[in-house]
Amino acid sequence: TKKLPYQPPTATLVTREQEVRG
Amino acid sequence: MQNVGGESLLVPIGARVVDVNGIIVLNDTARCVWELLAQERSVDELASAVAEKFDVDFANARVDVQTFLDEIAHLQALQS
Repeated sequence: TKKLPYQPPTATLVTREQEVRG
Repeated sequence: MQNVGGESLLVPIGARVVDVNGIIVLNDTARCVWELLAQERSVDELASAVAEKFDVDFANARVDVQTFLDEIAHLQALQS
């Protein structure tokens, strides 16, 4: 009565320039 | 924290907009830690909660949680 698969915690910054990017 | 399209996002508001140049995307483990940080917690408490929920041992969880806290502190999303 099972754990979730683990990935190390990560925080990725998406900059305003990347956000902006037919 | 906002949940948009299944992604967990930290969106700076107010004066923080100037400090943080964009938004921060968290993965599932990071979201779990972030939610726990609604209250002041020790690294051991956070690692213990992660090890309980995810398939990882306490020692590895502790190292990864500490690295994550350093990351978000560097991104100015955390006050220690």
